[in-house]
Amino acid sequence: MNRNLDWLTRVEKPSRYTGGELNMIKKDHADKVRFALCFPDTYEIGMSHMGSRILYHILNERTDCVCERCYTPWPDAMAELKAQGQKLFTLESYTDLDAFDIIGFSLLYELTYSNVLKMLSLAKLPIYAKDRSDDMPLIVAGGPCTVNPEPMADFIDAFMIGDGEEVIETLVEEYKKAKQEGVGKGELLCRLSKIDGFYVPSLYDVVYNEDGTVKAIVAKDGAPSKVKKAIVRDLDKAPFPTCPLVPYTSIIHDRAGIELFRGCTRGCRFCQAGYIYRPMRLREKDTLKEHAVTSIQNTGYEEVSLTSLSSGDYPYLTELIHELDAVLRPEKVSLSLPSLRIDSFLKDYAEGTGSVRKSSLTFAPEAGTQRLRDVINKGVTEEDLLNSVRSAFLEGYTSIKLYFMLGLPTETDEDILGIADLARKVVAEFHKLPKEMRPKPISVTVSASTFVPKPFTPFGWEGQIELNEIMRRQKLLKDSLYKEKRIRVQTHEPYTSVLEAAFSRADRRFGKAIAIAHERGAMLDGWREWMDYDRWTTAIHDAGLDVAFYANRQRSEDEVLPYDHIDIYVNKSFLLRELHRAHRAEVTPYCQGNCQGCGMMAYCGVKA
Amino acid sequence: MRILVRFEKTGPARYISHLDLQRCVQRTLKLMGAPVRYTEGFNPHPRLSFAQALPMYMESVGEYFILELTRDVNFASFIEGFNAHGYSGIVARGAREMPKEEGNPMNLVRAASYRYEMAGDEAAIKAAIESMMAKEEIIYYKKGKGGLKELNLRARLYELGYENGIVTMLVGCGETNLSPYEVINRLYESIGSEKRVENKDILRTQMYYEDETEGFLPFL
Repeated sequence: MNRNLDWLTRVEKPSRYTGGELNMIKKDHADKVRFALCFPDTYEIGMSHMGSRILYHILNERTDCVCERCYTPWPDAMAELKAQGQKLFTLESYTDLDAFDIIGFSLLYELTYSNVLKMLSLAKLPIYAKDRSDDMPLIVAGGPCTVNPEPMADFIDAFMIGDGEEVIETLVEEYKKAKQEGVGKGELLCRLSKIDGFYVPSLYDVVYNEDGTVKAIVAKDGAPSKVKKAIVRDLDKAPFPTCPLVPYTSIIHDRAGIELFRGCTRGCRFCQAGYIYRPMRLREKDTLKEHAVTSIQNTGYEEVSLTSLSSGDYPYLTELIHELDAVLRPEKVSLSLPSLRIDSFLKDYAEGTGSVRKSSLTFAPEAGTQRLRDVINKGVTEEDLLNSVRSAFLEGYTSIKLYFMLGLPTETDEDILGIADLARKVVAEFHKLPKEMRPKPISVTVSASTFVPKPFTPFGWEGQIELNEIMRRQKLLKDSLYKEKRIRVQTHEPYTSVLEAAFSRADRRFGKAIAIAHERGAMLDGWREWMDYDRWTTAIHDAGLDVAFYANRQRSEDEVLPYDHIDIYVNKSFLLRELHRAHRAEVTPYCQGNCQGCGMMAYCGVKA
Repeated sequence: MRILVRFEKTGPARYISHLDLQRCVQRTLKLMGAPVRYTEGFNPHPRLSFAQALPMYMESVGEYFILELTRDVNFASFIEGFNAHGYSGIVARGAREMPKEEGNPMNLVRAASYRYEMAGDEAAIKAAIESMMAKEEIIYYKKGKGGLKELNLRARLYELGYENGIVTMLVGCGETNLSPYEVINRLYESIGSEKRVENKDILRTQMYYEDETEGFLPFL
């Protein structure tokens, strides 16, 4: 390593840049496809991302590939890189990012797009795909945001949409083949475009109407008119990292994450993940046990976290918890189940985990009244919530977090006051317990984020409420709980929510706004101290675009959407049907045993 | 059995805090399956304690922790196991038994030795050292809870030498702590140099306890 890293002593958290973590994989680069896995946010956030761990593991298992990591540096390190005349480098071997064959970005959150551009420029690579020559790395992107790839279409060579496990290997194989045949980037991209899961934006032209909506998305050079997302059929056999990296310092999720299943069948109408990760695919109980035990053996983590979109829907959950607890408790490892729906909160989860440390428990009612919960199809009742918190209290939990959203379609002030009501009822439920069972006072945190309409959801046609209205509703909620000593209210930064809404359903023209904002210094927009709202609104304006057009406009049902050429199998007519039912406050049942015809059909293992 | 382990903190491990170091060592002990004794009570943690925290960015080949075990272990296997499951830069170098009666290194440590590469006129540096060591009192100020504390640097400076471009010193550690950079910066000052030392260029080489008759002795 010839790089002068003296500047590490001048920056915050130098471990962000040093590598050397437990289980880090450092391989020779010779005769291998070199892949730089980039997470467009800080080290602490990127290291917690399970998807990246899976890809790191898969790529490094291949003898023909070496995969190293890179994260967005903090501004103090960015300044040092500039001062030292150094380019952005990977953690494993301190190799310049632009020396890699393929650079892959994980797009999980729209406001990290500016970090993608920032990392490319720190690597001294042109941000526009058209400006990059054949000898420059291939730039790809994956992750949930890719279902609407359009805002980043000018910067990324190829998107990988859907499950990444198999397409990432296909990418490496195709890359190798192209290199062997002496074929250039253009031809490689053309070949990729014909494979399910790959979207090559340069092979599509977008035509617009006078009113700014999309007129047509035209495929050329043999690219498919609709790009199908990739689906891993057998999740149980899919590779899973049981030797994940363990950082020196603590990160966001300092525990071994085990993925129970992918996909969800609840059909909550605001939730993009619930639609884009379909079909629901389970891992076998024994596979999961093996993953958990091996992960603990290889990491020494003290907690195993069972993750999925709705863990209570895992059919063998009770048995799994008991069996895991039997193996983990003697090792002093606790179990956590973060995504448990209120109506499936198990009394024996709390018992069965034997968790030595009791921190806080989180529930997500999302809306304050039954009417609104029915509109969004989150069919939990007040009774469910109170039963669950009662069980939690009996197990010794005294800290409850409740997630809600403000600005849901058809929301009225009554619904917002309903949130306050629910929070008060939770506190009241606690005080019903006899005094001996209340050694500590209860603490309830109401966390109210702002609804952002997302592509490929029934609410994807809705407009977000105006900025002033967001603020008014936040104030209404805060004022109604102001006097409650035991209840704390947290709300999401409204300016951030507006930007999220603009980005999420933006078309290809929005790329210009991102480039302008980047040129003007935009970066780390997910961080309060770095997000500059005025910079963004000015950039969007200077790109000839309008924030309200993207964030607040009600889409018409026959409009061509900027992402209509992406096929996630769940079809538009199903989503629109759900939108209509929402406006009638009609609940759609859980599709297990009751197929609602979403479009997955052939791929769906869920019993109809 | 209670063991005393000597370890190094170098390379990428330089940049982690003492708290993170503790966590990493705990994790390594867990991964190697060491028969660690845990505390009783609500939040069990290993009976592990470190002799003295190392300032950030400084490297060291003379760090220590004591660990209580539920049974006896073979020292060589312990060290091998620790290093096989360890983080880059945290390497065990030696181990011996240290029964409870001997006390806790945290309370026993009296001195530490350091190394620093210092380029310059050998004669001038040696002269500066001689003059420093000849003084009875060298006042310096240390930030304390009640403001600035006035201390006598010389009283905590036991040995100071310069050979082949390397400064070596033995100074107070623990209750009578003297930071090596205080000594080195004073040296720079006295040879008329504007340069000042950074922690990253200093290496701690050993830690000592005080024996009644034999003076400062290394723990291991």
